[in-house]
Amino acid sequence: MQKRMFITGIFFVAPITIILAIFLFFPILQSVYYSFTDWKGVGGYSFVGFSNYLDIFNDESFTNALKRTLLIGIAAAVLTNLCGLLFALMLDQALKTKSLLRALFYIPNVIPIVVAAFVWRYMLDANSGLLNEWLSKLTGDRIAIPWIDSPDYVVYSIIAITVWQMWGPIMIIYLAALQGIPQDMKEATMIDGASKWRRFISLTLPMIAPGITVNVLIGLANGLRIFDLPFALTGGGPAGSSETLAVKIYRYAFSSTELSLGLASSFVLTICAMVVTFFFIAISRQYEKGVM
Amino acid sequence: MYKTKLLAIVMLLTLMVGILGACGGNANTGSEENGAKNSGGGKSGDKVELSVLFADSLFAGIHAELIQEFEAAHPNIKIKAESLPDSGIFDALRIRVSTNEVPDAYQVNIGHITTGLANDAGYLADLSSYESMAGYSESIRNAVSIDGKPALFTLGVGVLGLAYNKDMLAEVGLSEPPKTWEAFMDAGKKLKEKGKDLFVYAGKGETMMGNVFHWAFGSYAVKDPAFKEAYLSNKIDWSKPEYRAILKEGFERFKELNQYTRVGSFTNEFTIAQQAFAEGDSAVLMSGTWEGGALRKLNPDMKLGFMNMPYAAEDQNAYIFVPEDGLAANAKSAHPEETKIFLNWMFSKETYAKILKAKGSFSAMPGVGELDESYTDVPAWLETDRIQSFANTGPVPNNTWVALGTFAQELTFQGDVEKSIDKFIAEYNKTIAK
Repeated sequence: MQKRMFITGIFFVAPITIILAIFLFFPILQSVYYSFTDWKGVGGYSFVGFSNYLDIFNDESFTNALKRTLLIGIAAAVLTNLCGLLFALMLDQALKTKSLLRALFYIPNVIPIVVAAFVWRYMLDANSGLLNEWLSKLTGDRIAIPWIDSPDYVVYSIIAITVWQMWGPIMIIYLAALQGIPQDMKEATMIDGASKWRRFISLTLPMIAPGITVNVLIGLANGLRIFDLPFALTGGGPAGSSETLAVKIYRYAFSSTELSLGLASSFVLTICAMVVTFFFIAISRQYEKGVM
Repeated sequence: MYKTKLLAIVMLLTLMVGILGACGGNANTGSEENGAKNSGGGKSGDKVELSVLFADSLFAGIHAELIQEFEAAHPNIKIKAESLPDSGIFDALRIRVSTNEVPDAYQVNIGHITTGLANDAGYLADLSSYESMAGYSESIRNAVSIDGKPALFTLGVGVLGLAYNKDMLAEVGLSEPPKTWEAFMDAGKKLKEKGKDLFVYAGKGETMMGNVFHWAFGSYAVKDPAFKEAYLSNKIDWSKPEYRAILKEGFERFKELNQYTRVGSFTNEFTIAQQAFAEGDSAVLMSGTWEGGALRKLNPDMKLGFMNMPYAAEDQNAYIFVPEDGLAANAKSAHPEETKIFLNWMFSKETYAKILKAKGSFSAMPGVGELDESYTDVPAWLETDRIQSFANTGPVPNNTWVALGTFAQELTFQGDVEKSIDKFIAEYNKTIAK
């Protein structure tokens, strides 16, 4: 009976395993293999060992893109979660406009990011952008901050747009987690005289801890692999100051003929994403064990 | 239980057949697949679909009406046109070559790295047997040849230069375009005092940021044939002090110019730069003799002029000759005859004249089209011995040229010119060594 169950199980698992093997594992392994060659995407190639990896780590623009990507990934994860949680807490109250607000907060995630990038480009334009115009009206002086045209601001603008774009789904997950907290537990803490802050720290936060783990992972993943926003908004400029690792990979692979450098960079990005993710999962599991 | 297992087995088999069907068997190229879709396309009564890939600006927005006209005259051929933003056209071609999905006809630039890739992969057809190629002069056919074969129908030839707004320069006392770098910068200063910008360009088009250096290298090449030869063959020894000085001057001038450059130029799409110029926010646009039509369309009332970048004294300055982008044919197309019919029609003298009229560009076919009045000086430039064939994307390899633009931008924001020079030299030597 057990053997039959096992065979049946294999049958059920086989389709997705085959699909993953063909469309995911095999291409990944193939990419790793090509990252040790000088393949240009067309024609033959030869094995070059770790030369591509040495080249990318000697390339200042690559190491800058790596640092920038980690900054964007971590900042986006933290800020998206703070905003998402804040909005979820707001919508967990008995508000008449709850449905409308929920839709409003979610809308940025529905807009294709390339379209959003073009809209933001006009909003943040240093010469005639709406944001500078509003700031000028507010202060009475002519404000012309180069939000996306100066290396001093552009990364922060990208983080802000990423947060704006991502807070919708994060908020929905938090809202579901908040609504899952049993009413009797809430009432018990109120009867015990706990303050709002104490209730949040001692009841709400532990109860939504699994949601935090999921949300931070979503935020990290979105931040670390960010490509379309900087590419459409600034093309990686000015002076390469908004070039993320994914944009750099694209430049290696497609703007020049260094596809193998692009593959090596992709592998580095994957490793970084895995390290950051596993580190966070380890921390969050400890937290969940400690509080639940 | 038995039913469940049976259902699972049936589903699994169906999925396996689907996967194997999708993955296996057809090792044809994309274009061959296109052909397979329309197999028998040449037979009377069957419609053949040709795929054509080009950038938005290549036909100055009239591609839809041209295609409609072509399809009306050739009911058996349907054109599937794919028009992409200018900044992404060569990246798209690069991907199509890598994935063997090259369209039947596609945009190329003779000096661009992707053209070499397409050629190496066998996708660049020899156009010498195409009747319309005879419309071009021999010098143009040579200029658009790779491995001895004419490889593209160029939309025009011309020079890289600066489109300018005559009224705006007149506002700062210039009835003629500035002839020296100092006069150019002085105009920038005066315009800035009036709250306007002298210059605008489009950093998103990667290679554009380095364009100032075409004149830095070009004007030196005019006076030093040895440098010119080294430059064209990518063998410059930058350790020579006189060559390093060329870079230093180029970087410093790039930085100086950016004092009067419109904010946003480093991250703009070209259309945004054109818009700023057409709306009178900037007096001068980094351009070429292929933009007149588009600029007049944006602002028909503007008094448009075209000048050479006043990098060096007028009698020592270089004119930067550029064969324009054009369409190439896929040598592996499943429909070579139909592709030939399409390209012959597109680059017949009659159709080409329509394209020229829309683009306002400099004709590559003798006796076809009218010269835009802003380009009246250009034929005289081309008579001089100061023409440098430094196409927009060569001879320095694409990624090194992009790096040059990036290092120059870095210097504009902060940094040390010597470090910028060292970075460029390292990048140049690294690429050349490869």
